[in-house]
Order: sequence, then structure tokens, then C-alpha cells
Amino acid sequence: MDTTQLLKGVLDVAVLAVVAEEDGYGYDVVRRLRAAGLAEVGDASVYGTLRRLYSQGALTSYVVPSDEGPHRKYYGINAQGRAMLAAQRKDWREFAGTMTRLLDGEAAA
Amino acid sequence: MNGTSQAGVREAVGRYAAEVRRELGDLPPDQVDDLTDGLEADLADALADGPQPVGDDAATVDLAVRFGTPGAYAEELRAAAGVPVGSPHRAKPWPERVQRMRAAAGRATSVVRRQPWVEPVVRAASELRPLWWLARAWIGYQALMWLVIQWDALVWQIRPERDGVPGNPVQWAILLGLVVVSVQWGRGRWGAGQLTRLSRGVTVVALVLLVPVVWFTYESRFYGPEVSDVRYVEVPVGPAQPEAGVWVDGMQVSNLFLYDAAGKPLTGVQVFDDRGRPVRTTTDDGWSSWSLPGVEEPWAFVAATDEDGRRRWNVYPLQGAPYEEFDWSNPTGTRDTSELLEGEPRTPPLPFAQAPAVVGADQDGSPGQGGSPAPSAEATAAP
Repeated sequence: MDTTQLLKGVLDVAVLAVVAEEDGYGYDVVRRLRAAGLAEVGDASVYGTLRRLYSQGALTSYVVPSDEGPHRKYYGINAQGRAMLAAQRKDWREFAGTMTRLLDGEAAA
Repeated sequence: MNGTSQAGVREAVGRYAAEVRRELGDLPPDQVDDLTDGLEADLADALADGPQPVGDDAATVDLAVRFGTPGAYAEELRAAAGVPVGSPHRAKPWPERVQRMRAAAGRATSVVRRQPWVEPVVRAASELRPLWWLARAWIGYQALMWLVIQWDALVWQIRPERDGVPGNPVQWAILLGLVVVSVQWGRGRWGAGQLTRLSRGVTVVALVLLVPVVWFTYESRFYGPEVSDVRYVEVPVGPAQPEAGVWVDGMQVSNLFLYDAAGKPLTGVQVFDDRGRPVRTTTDDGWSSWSLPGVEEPWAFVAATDEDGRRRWNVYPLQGAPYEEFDWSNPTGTRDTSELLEGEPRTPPLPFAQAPAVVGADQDGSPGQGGSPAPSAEATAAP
């Protein structure tokens, strides 16, 4: 199965979860998602998602200057983001449970 | 990684980020900033995380290998950020100067379109399109024939006549085939609809070729059908066609002076050629002037008149007068220049007062034993 298609639907909640854990800048978030097992996540997709969540008001943002190179843009979660994460987490559990039951039941039949 | 290669990486990252920003150029600047803020740091970190480039040379830092083309990267960024892809403004905008020129051209076109004469002209032009289809085929044919001439050593069998008209069945078949294709395309058949670009391209090429082909056809008439790399062109020095009048050693003569066997000058002698045609030195009924050897003023001549009242131009020496003595304003509108002369016409200066006598002729001018009867001055009186 093409997991990149699945990823598209859940990238928002994945990014929210990662940032909720700890503030991070773009590539830092990518790295942590990959470390968590989402190896096929695309850099630009994550950056775009971070920007969108920020403009939706789910994330805060601040710039950290760097001594050796360009500045980094960090994202952190806010109250709205936490609420969004909670709602999506609930949605995912229900959806995943439904899918698991469906697929297991099919396999058993 | 040493400092130099770090600078190289920074430069490559900067270039790549700039490319990505350019790809997002259709978006408002603040949205582009929002999407790409911190992009350089992310790219640099991702690079540092990934497999190191082979060697430390900055030139090997190619971010497109690692991240894909800037275009694809920008698409992904745009899609994830929820900025619509393929919006009407997705096409790269023209530079501002070009946009201004296009707008000006559009305005000018609409001004012209409003003119009252445009509509009939356009309609007439569209009705003449079949003519253009034929012309297009002929242009193609001529261009083809030109190529054949260039390579005539290879395909001499269909060596063309160079005046633009097919000279044999093969050429007619080629021209006819081209005409059929051109007409069918013009009517939108034979894939002209699907191959709009090809059809238009052919039309443009035909238009471009129009001038050289016409020139070539026109030019080749002067060389005739001979086809050779080395051409010997005979350039006529004087007029190619002999002109009317009497010529001696390439020089037109104005008058003839006749002397009898004894060498005495004759007047009023009629001269005919072997076919009985009058020999005339002048052909314009005396309207032109002649410069005579040793005479400063130019002269004009008048005709003699025969018994029936006809004017005779083969009576020599021609009588005349200096050009100035004629009234060229021609108040009566006559065609006979003798009427324009104030006084009497006279004989122009003779080349010799006396020519050498012919052997066997008497000194008194009577015919010699072996000669034919010579005309005498008394026989035909001068006017």
C-alpha cells in the first residue's frame, strides 16, 4: 500500500503531536517524524504543514538566530493546537479502530 | 567538512531556496516569505543529516539530487500549506516590460479592429485563402526544387526547370501532391486540427520562404535551365539586338555621301538594299539631332519628297540644317519636320569635296566600260 497517500491524511496530527512534545524547527520536526517511523515523509510537506497549522492559529512561531548560518524558525503548540490535537487524536483512534475491526474481521472470514 | 565547503553548501542552499521562491513567484510576496522563512536552515540541516556529498568540493553540492527540482519542492510546499496549486496565476508571469508591450500591442490591435475598412479587408482576405493554399504549395515545391538543384548530382533525373513551372511528369506529380496536402490542411482535414502547431509552423515557414523563393525563381530566369557550378555568362557589350539605322564599325551613321566613279559628289541618290527596302539612317522621321564630325552644332535632317508626294528618307546625302534653325515648339502640330525649318534645307558638310576616281572611269563622270550605269546628279534633282 502506498503509505504516502495515508500519510497525507494524518500528517497534520502527526506534526501536532511532535511539536506538542517539544518545540521544533522545520527539519527538526522532519527528523523526529522519521525517527518515529514515518520514513517517507517529505521535507517540504512537513514545512508546508507547519506553515498551514501556524496560519490556522494552531501553532506559535519564533525565530532563533544562528551563529554559523541562517536563522531557524521554531514552532510551538498553543491552546488551540492542543485542542485540535486532542480532537484529531480521538478521530484517529475511532477511525483506526474501525479499520482494524474491518480488516481483522475480513481476514477472519 | 572544512570552512570552504561549508561556504559552498551555504551558497548552494541559497541558490536552491531562491529557485524555490521564484517558483512561488505568482503568490503575494508576504505569502512567499511565510512559506519559505527558515528554508535555508532547514535545507542546510537536512543536508548535514543526509549522506555527505562525495568529496568536499562545493561543486558537488547539488540539492536537486537530494530534494528534487526546486519546482517539485515548491509544489510540495504549496500543497502541504494548502495554497492552491494550478491556480490561474500559476503560469510564470511575464516580465513587466513584456507585459507592458503586450498590453500596448493589444490596445493597438483593438484600435485597428474598430476601423471601418478592417472588416471587409479581413473578409476578402479570408475568401482569398485558397489562393494562399496554392501559393504555399508552390513555395514548398520551389524550395524542394532548390534543394534538388543543390544536390542535382545525386538526383539529376528530376532536375528541375528553374522558372518555377514543372518540366516533366515527376515534377508535376510533386507539385500536385503538395497542392493537395496544402489545400486539405487549409480545409482543416488530414490532421490539421490535431497538428495545429505543425500546420501553423508550415505556414510560417512558407511565409518566411516566400521572398527567397520568389527571388530565386526570378533570378534563375536569367541563367536559364543550365545547371552547373561554373557558369559562363556572356555579357553583351552593346545592345543585344541590332538597332535600326545604318551602322559602320559599330557606330551609327547619320548620313551617306556618294561619289561617282570619277570621285565627284552626288546629290539626291536613292539607296535601296538587296531586297528593295529603302536604306534609312534615321528612323524617327527627323525628330532627333545628330552631331556631325567637325561640326560644332548638332544637325537635324528632313526627308526628300518623291513625285507622288511621299516623303523619302533614303535619298542621300540627307538634307538638313543646324538643330537651332528648326522651330521645335511646333506651333502647327505637324509631323513633318521640314515644315519647322525656317529656310531651305541644305547638304551638310561633305567628308571630301572629291573622292579618288575609280580605275577605268572617265574624268567627266560617264560610266566606265566594265561598270554599271552610275546615277548622276542630273538624273534625280535634289529639292
